[in-house]
Amino acid sequence: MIIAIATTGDTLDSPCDPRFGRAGNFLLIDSDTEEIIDTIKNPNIASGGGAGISTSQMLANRGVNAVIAGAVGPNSFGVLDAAQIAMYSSAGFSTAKDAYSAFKSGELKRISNPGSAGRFH
Amino acid sequence: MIVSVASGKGGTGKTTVAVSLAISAAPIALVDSDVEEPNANILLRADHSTSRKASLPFPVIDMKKCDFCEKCSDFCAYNGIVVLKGLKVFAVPEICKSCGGCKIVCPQDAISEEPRDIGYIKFGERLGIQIVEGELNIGESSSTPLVRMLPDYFPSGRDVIVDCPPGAAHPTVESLRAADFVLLVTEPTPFGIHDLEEALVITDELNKKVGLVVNRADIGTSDIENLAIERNIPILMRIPFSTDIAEHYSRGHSPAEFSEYWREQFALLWQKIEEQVR
Repeated sequence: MIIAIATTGDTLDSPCDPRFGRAGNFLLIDSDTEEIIDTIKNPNIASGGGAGISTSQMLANRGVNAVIAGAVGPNSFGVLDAAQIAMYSSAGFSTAKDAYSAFKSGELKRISNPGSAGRFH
Repeated sequence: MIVSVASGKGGTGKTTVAVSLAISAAPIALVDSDVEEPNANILLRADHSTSRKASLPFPVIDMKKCDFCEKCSDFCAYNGIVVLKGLKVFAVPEICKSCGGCKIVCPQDAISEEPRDIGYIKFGERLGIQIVEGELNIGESSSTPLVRMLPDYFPSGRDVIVDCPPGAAHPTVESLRAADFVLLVTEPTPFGIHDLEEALVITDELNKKVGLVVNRADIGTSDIENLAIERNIPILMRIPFSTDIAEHYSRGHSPAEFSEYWREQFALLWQKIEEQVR
């Protein structure tokens, strides 16, 4: 299973990024081997609109099975849900490592509702 | 002749002026292009005799033809179409601008378009005024496409008064585009002046003839008068801060409907506009 964690940096010690669509980076971890298989610098940080949609599509097409982020907006939620990707909240956890450990031990909360929209009109 | 009634700032009396002007200039057409909250007909009270749905083309994907090449989502500058490889492809109504680009770039010819309803255009008539009213569906993220459709429904053979949305953004620009004259309703407050200047940026850019109506003209600052002199913009009417007008308005009656005096004043305003356009 591939887990994508939104972080502001590029290591497991980096802080969790509260954003999803415009998160700085994603760490892709294979939960079977516990290895970081990729670090993605998010190309959608400065997107004019629909950042969450584009980010969701990118992760879905990388074969990600679950994402961990502070919150997920309505557009991202729709796409991740359609792609059958599980969503978990990193709220309350400081580093990517903390959030990932909590995920492994089943302590992370599932995100079952989209947060508020943040988009350009 | 097409006269757009705009303001910049909301709540200056655009609709009150537009409806009163229409009553005094009837027979005429009145178009409500404030499609997010059309309220001209609250004052006019015409029965809607007919209405039609307004829709935009929206991409639908034939999954039998799609090979998940992602050319559509790469093309869309707004990220309005999603490609989930091996699973599904779909457009997002809140984001799609109905430009048709994804349909053009699809090498598999897998994208067609179906109408997606965004609102209504309603028609009615009262007091010799044909009203055309745009009404955006709740939840739509952009009013501009509906505003842009309205000129197609301007009744022919009649002068038209357009009641514009507030603000100085894209829906206002589209409401002014067809105008022969722009009547800017303002008030003598710092907000009124600030937003009037924003509106003047648009009318300058569009090269429109403009005139002012100063509402609640006997209170507040005299800066509007100074601005009008400075910019050489005629003040065509001054409406005082009046309990009488406010009371009737609160019952849904515009000045020209309840008062012979105001009916004459607005007829005079219409004459002045005709002189300005000539």
